[in-house]
Formats: sequence, structure tokens, C-alpha cells
Amino acid sequence: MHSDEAYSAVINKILSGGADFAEIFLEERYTGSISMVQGEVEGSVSGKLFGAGLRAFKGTRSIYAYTNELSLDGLMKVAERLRAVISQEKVTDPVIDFRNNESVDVCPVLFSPNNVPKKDKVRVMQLAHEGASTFAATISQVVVNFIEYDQNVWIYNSEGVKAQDRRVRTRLAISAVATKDGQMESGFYGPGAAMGFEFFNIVDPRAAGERAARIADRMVRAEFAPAGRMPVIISNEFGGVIFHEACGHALEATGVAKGASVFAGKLGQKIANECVSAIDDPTIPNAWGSANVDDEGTPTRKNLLIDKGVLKSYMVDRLGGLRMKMEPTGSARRQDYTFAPTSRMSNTFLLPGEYYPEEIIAATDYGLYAKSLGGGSVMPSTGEFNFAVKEGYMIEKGRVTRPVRGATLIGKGNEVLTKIDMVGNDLERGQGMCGSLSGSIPADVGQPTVRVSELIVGGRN
Amino acid sequence: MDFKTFVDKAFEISRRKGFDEAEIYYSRGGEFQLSSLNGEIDSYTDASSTEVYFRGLKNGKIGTAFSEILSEEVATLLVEEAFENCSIASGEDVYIFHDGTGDYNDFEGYSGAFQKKTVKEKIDTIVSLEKLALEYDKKILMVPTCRTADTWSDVTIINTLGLNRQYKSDGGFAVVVSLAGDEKSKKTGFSFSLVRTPEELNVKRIAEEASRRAIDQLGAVNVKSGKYRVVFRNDVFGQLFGTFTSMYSADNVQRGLSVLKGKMGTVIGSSKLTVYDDPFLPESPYSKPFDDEGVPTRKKALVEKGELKTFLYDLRTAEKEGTKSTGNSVRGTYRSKPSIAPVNTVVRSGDLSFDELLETMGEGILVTDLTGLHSGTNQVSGEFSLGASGFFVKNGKISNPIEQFTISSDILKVYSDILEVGNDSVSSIYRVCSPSVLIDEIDVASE
Repeated sequence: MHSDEAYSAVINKILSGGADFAEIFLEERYTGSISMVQGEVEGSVSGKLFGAGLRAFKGTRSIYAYTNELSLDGLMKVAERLRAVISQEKVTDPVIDFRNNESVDVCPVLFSPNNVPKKDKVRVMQLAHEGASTFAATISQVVVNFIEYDQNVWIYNSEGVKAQDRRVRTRLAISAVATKDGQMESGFYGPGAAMGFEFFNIVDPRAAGERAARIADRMVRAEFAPAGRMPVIISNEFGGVIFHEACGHALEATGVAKGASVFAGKLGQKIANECVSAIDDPTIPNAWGSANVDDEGTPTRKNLLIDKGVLKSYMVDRLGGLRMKMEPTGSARRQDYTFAPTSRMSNTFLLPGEYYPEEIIAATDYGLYAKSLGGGSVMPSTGEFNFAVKEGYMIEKGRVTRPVRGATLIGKGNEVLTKIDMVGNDLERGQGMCGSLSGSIPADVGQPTVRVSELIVGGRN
Repeated sequence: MDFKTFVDKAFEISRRKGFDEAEIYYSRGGEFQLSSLNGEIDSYTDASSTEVYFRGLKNGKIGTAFSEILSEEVATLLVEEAFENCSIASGEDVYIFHDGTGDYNDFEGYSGAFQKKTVKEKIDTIVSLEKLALEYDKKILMVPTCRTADTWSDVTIINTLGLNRQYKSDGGFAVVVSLAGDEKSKKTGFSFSLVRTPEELNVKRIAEEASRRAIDQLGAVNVKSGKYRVVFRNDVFGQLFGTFTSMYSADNVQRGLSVLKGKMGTVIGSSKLTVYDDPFLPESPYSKPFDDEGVPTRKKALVEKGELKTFLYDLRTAEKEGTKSTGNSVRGTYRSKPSIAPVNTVVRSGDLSFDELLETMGEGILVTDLTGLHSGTNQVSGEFSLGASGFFVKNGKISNPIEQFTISSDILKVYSDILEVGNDSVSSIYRVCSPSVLIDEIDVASE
């Protein structure tokens, strides 16, 4: 690390080319992953990333460069390249008076990844393996991955922002395969948090393994899902991926600022049924998608996105804010220093409603019950989304009946929001990795059980 | 610290620490990316990076560690970290290193052509790319994505068994998404081009293709759910095919996670299907003379006239079966362990033109886009259920665009149901070069 004066000099170097704004993002990260196949540790890889990302704005143009050369000399060279790109008249700048962006630490950590012996992590993995492999006779293969990192970031910018944050993440990811009569199906469960090894005081690895195995075991006994339009009840927790894909991405400034979102220009308007309220909250203590400051150094805050069906806010980064003439919402995120930050979700979920999940099922004559969902994707400019049902059941005459496999759900985000007609009272959050322009980042999705009156289910005829 | 001194230092520390053998993979690279919006550059990335991996062997077990800088302190940290990683390894698998022997192709993957272009020239290219896409038709509302990039990398692998190989490569790509709209709906069109040199980038073709594809989708109507004959457009079949190439990995086969287990030498698809892994494909920026364990790469048939010819091996999985590595070890990102994958998958083209494929199909669906490939595919069972868009084909001609639908089948059924293969091969983003393909029957869900 260099002195404030040194970073001030780098920023001034960039500004001297005529930039309106300049920023330095420094990152040091320890990251490790251990892979266990059938109870044996097959690979363990770990190491450190070091890098700096420098950014300049001229108007709403953004210029980004990154390097592993962290010496002052190396940073100055990159700053010179940015200066040369803008290369307008010289302006003289005073030394920047950095103000520390103090924030409350919402993600305190007890046991840093670096300080816990790897054999202790292997022990946790063995428990998960046992939980999965002994769950049912059909379970033929279990892979357990332990993923962790300890990221330290420092952010300086030409407006005097100086911020520091530490993000520790720990995740256990279990894949189980069930085999029956030559058919193979897999199940996955991957709990994680912004915590160190103490995560396993609150998560039972054995139960996590059982859960992955349960999905595989149920699905290997399942028939194909039917095809066509029908009501779909989506279970709580990771079911929230439907809101994440169908709506969340289209509320990111990245798309909205360009007008390339179905929700652009809709602030204050009704975009969803009245039973739908949603928030993005990076301040939840130790949650998978939480942080104290965002990757532009803005303190994070809870953002109410939709209130009783009315669009209240977008998720806005600095550049998006310039384009939209709005204040940043603390939503700028990036995978690491090799990506320029952009507006992203953190922990995004639907708020609970009035129904018990059992009531929602009982009120449905025929449809699909999506108990576990996999990932999905969306095209924000048209709202067209898709996601995969990893554990599904049929609903017949108000009851959950036989398991069904291989269903994909498709629809349009703006339409699906108006078709959510029942919202449960059982809010839970689940962990995922979200991929977009600024890379792959940890994000929580979440919801109570909800019913969508009609979706296209991509099964077999 | 220069690389040679770093290697000597790390190997010396490794010996003292107690590793039997040591290997260093060192990669330097750069990327230059532009994206434009409304005729202006809205993002510009200019970057350089370094990656260094240390792998140590002890009693056939392996430990890996990585960093991004070269220094004496890092050399010590890498060996220490790798040693702890090695100490928790268990199981029967035996890891080995390659000694540098074998026939190395003198394939040249670096031209330096992109680096010779000035920033101004690159900016002109992307601005005209966006302009051409936007001005193609007044129904084009905007171009949400217009991006060009070029990258270079320089990889060296060196170990204590005598391997010492270096390879440099470069290439670039352009991607355009156009948004078209009328009173009723909005549709996007996508075009992507992967090239070795800037001269190969046909700006006009990419821009017009994205915009034409968006406009062609306007006025889409629903199709009835049911079973249909389907033509996958060349790039789309490449994406679908590429998503399932993990079933050729010997690692998945040995673990019982591949539907191809036990099928070596048997017929797994239509006699029209022949597939190669071609590491020296001239137009591909992924082409390379050796894999990420330093083993020479070679061209080979995976499937010949429907018959399964080989699985893909790295050193460990080959050792397990007493066979040789096929040169298919892929390091991937440095947060995970290496995997096994084809370098460039090539689906051999047939005789029919695209129009003749549609005529042969008569009535059915032309699939021009797939979504959810990362989530709607089951790599273990081969089954898939994916979002799609496309056109209804009647009397051998495109009749009308179809509103978002899904297709469901499994990959081996697709292999078997190939009726005809086109002659219009193109390289897609999934490292697959494929023609358009006519498939007998696929489940479609919509209305």
C-alpha cells in the first residue's frame, strides 16, 4: 500500500488529461477451493490475487484499465495510458483530501480462511459426503466442493472518497447423482455466507449433503414434466431466482440507463400485482451478497425496489447515475479488479405475504410445484427469461402428487410480475452466483412460496 | 524478478520442502475491449495480467497454488501453500507430469495484427459497427450491446522432468445485439464473430446480421405444443453440441458421470454425424500446439459416421487406464482444478445448403436461438429443456416467426435423430464449428 499522497498523484495524473472523474480500486485476495470426489480429496488449489483497476469518466464515457503492477511506477504508467485516451487540455488539480468512508461492519468474521487448517475443512466436507452418500441406495456419486475467499479492497476517487472493505465468503457446494434402472439424475445444494469457518456453527454439512441427495433421489424416480401453459407454484428460498431473472436484472441501471430495459421510465408506476413487494439489501449481516461499501466505495443501503406492485427504485452505480441523473444506490459490484464495476443485485428478494404455503397449494386445482430451481437467464431489453426446475412435482386437485423432471420455465418478466397472484408467509433466502457484465459475483435470491397464475412449462408432450 | 530466476528459486525451495517434482505454468496476457452506445465509446478497457501456478508432486499426489506476481516471497508462499494442499490429497489417483517428449506441431497462433492497429482504428471499427446495425432499418430501436475485443496470451510451462514449452496466441471478437420493435413487441437479434486477425472481421455482415435477425422475429405468433421436426441453425447447433462435450471427458466417464460410459466403439448417433477435435483449426484463436499440462495436442475423430472413436484424456485419467493423454487438459480459471475438454470441436459438414435443409424438412421449426444452456441442461443424463426462438417452416420455406418456446430432448436422441447435415459451417462461441442440422423429432412447448 502507498500513501494517500501517492494515490492522489495517480488520480491527478488521470485528471490531467481532462477526465471528470478518476478512481483507483485495489484488491488483494486469498482464495481457495477443495474438491472431494466420492469421499476422497481430489484437488486443492489456493492462492492470491493482487491487482489494481483504474477508471476515468469523461462525460458518460468510461475508460478502464487494470494491472498486476502495483508499484507506484506501475500505477502511474496505467494512469498515463488513461490520460492519453482522453487527452484533452491540461487542467491543474490540487492534492485530493480523502475522507474515510466509515461504515458499520455488517459482516464480522471470526475465523479467517487463511487461519483454519485445511484438514478441518476436509472434515466438514466428509460430513457432507456422508450425509449425501448414505441418504438413499440410489446415490451413486457425490462431489463436494469447499470454496472460500478473503478479499480486501481499497477505493480512492477524485471526489475524495477513500473506502476500505473486507469480504470473506465461505461456501459448501454438494452435487449428488442418483442412478436407477440406467437413468441418472443429479441434485445440488450450495449454502454459503459472508462468514469464515464459523459458518459451520449454523449450517450442518451433513444435512446439506442430505438435501442435495434428496433432490437427485426424487428426480431419478420422476417422469417427464408435461408441456404447455399452466399455473406454477414456486417454493421459497432459491425459488427467488424467478424474481432475480424476471425482474431484478431489468432494474439494474446498466440496462435502464440505455433504455434497454422493459422497466425503463416506469418509476412510480404499477408494474406488478399488489401482492408483490421486493427489496435489494446488501446490509443483511453476514449474508452471501452483503458488503459494507460497494465496489465504488459508496456505503451500501437497503433499497426498496417494488412496494405493493409500484416500482420505487432501480439499482444504480455511478456511471448509470450520471446517465440517469440519479444518485448511486450503493449497488456497484464487480467480480474482481479485472472488471469495471456496474450496477448489480446483492441480496434481492420478494417480501412475505399473507398465505401459508399449504393454502396456496390447496387453492390450485392443477399445475406444477417447483420445489427447487436451478439457474436462469434473461434478456433485459425484451424481458424474456428462462430458468430450470431442478426438483418438481405435479399439483392435482390441491395436493402435491408425483415428482416430475426436466422442466424449464419461460416467460416475460414484465408479464410474470402481474401474474403473481398469491404470496406466502415463508420468506427464505438461497445462495447463487450471478453472472453479468462485471463478472460472476455472490448474490442471494429469495422469496416466500408464490403462485404464478400461468407460465409456459417446457416439458414433454 | 525475471521468470528464469523465479523458476530456479521455486524449484530449489520445492526440493527442500520435499516435493518429488515441480512444475510452473506462467501466463502473461492482455486484453483491449471497446463498447459503443449512440455513436460514442461508452466503455474502454485496456489491461495486462500475469498468472503463475505452481504444482508439486509427492508420492503421486498433487498440490497446486497460484499467484499473480513473481518474487522470492511469492515463490516461497506458492510452495508452502501447494505443500499444504498436497498434504490433504487422498484417494487412488496417481498424478504425473509430462517430460516434454513427443511430436509438437509448429502451429503459429500469433500474428500481432490486432496489436498493430491503433486505438483510433479500433474506435472507428466499433463506431461503424453500431452505426451499420442501427441504420439497417428504422425498426431498429437501439443496439443494446456493441462490443469488440482483442486479446493475446503468452504461456510457458516448465517442469523438473525436462518439459519447457512456450506458446503465444492472439485473436479477437465482435458481438452485436440489436433491438427491434413495432407497435406490438420488441425482439433482439444477436451476431457474434470470432477471428484471428482484424482483417477477418466483416463489420457490415455482423451488423446487418444482428439487425436482420431482430427484425425477422417481429410479429412472432405462438406455436402449438407438440413434437416437431427441427432444423438447428449452424451456430445454434454448435452451442447445443458444445454444451454437452463434457461427456467425452475420460474423467466423467471413469466416474460414471457420462452417458457415453461403456459405449466406446459402438454406434451412438446417425451415420451422418462425424465430429473432430481439431487443435489446429486455422480460424480459431483457441488453437494451440500443446495442452495445459504441456502434452502435444493432435487432431482426432471423436465420432465417425455415428461411431464413438475416443474419449478425451489428460495425464491422470490416461494413467488410470494405462493409455496416453490426448492433449486435452484445460486449466480454465485459476480458482478451480483443471478439467478435460476439446480444443476446437468440429462437426463435419454435409452436402445440403441451408435452403435445401429446410426443403428436406418440409414442415417443422427452424431454431435460431437457445437460452438457459447453463441451467436447462443435465450434463449427467444428457437431457435438456431450453428456451428457444425461431421460425415456423411450411412447404420447405420459412413461414413466420414464433413467440418464445421451449425444446426438450436428450443429446444422444439428437445424435441419433440427425437426418441431414448442412454445408454452411460456422464457428460459434462454444468453441464449436458446426453446420446447420436437421433433426427428426423434438418436443416443443408453447401454447
